[in-house]
Amino acid sequence: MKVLHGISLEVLKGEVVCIIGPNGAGKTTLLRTISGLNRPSAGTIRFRDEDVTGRKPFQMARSGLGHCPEGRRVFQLSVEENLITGYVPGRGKSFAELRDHVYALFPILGERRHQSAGRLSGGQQQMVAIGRALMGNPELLLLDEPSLGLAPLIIHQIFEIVLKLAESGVSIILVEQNIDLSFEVADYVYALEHGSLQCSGPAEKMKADPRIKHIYLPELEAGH
Amino acid sequence: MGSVILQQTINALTVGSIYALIALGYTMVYGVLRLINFAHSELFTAGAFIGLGLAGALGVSGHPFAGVLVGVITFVIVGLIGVSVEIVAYRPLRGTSRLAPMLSALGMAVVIQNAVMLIAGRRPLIYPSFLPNGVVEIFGAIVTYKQITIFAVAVILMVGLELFVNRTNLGVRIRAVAENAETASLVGINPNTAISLIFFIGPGLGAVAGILYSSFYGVASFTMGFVIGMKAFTAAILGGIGSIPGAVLGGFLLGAIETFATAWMPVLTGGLIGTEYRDIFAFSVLVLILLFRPAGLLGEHVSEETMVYKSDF
Repeated sequence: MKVLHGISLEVLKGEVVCIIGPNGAGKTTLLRTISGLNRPSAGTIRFRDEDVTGRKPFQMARSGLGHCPEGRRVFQLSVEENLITGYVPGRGKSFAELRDHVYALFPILGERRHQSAGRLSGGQQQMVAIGRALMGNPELLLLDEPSLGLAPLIIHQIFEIVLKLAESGVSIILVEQNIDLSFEVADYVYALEHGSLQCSGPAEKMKADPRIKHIYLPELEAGH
Repeated sequence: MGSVILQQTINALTVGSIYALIALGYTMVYGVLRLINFAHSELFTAGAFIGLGLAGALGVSGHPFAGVLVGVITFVIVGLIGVSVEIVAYRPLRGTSRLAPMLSALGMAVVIQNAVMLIAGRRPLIYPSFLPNGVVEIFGAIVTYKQITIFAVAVILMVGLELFVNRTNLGVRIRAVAENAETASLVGINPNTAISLIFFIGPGLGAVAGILYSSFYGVASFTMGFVIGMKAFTAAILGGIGSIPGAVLGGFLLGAIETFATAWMPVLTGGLIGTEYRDIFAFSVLVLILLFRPAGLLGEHVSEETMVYKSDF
């Protein structure tokens, strides 16, 4: 089934790009296609000036793509073992360096390193998912609705980290339903609807765009 | 009386060791692919015959050190056969239905069994004992060195497997693939590497069990894998298929149930049910466990949630 139609999207180094759109707009499918979980029926995916279309997900991860999937999907292993699964050797940093970096970003994970990740709170699981993706020392990080089901305070904490990562040069593609949050952190916003690009532009410009309101009207009515 | 129970316990541990080693192969494959590898029982047989062939080719036999050498080489050979079986018969069918790879597994079982028959012949062969001879008496029970060796080899392999799976980074990655292959691939793990490793270790352990089994009974036949395999499969189900500790527990438990039931049934029924009904107990256990506790003793209960989460692939 064709879900996405003729979408062009570009991310520069250290940029936070936000993809917004209602449920079923194809946001997750777009991320899955970038990661190689879904194959595009047409078009190409370029990563670091290289055509990576058709590469397998693990190859993408090993070449510097981090993907925090929808629903976090932490493994029912300890926190530290989750980090082990995400470690990609030969990307310039040792396991200990990357792990300590993750624990510095999320101190609570360091305290709970031997606990089962499946028993942590939603927010902490999201931290594990981000930390696991960071273990590959990624240049591009895909975040699929990291705020879903989390308390505002935790969301705030996680988005601060996201901005910090972007400042350190990691490019970020963020999928969000929370439109206010998206505009707060994004440099550039793409709005999807029914698998097509409705509009896109720098965050400040898009904020005032009446089409954004149109796309989100059903969501607002549904109480989001 | 006490010594009889002790004697039976020792016999149970011997047969339980064999069941447990084979059950590990079933459970590991199931844990990652949700596939029952019906070819596993024939890899057990193949292991016994390859061990026999190696003993002849290397000109060694009847010595424990020769046994170690033959065991290690056979482990590797049968492990590589296991990896090939997965690549040829299961990998192309991945992501289709659950039934297709299962039928393919049954087909592979027939192929391997016939290959063994064509190479080794139809008649059972006398098997050289790689196990040390001798007996020791413990509180009136006779324990042969063979039994002690079988138990010791099984324990060493199981502890080794436990350490590998739980204490090494590779083991952590295998567990991640077993839990969710798609997510594992997203974080940079090649699921096929983990799967190949499973198909190396499982059949390798089964092959060692084959050598131990044939060494103990002194005979090898090309059909011997079927019943033993079914019992080991029962052990894996009993312990909870997909669970490594479950396979070990199930193996020893089934060994105990079978040994004690076989020993006591003729006494209790006044000779009506003789020891020739040995096989009935294992399969009664299989029926009962499937009826009343399909998840097994240590297996997780399969809820709808885990079914979705632990997706087929």
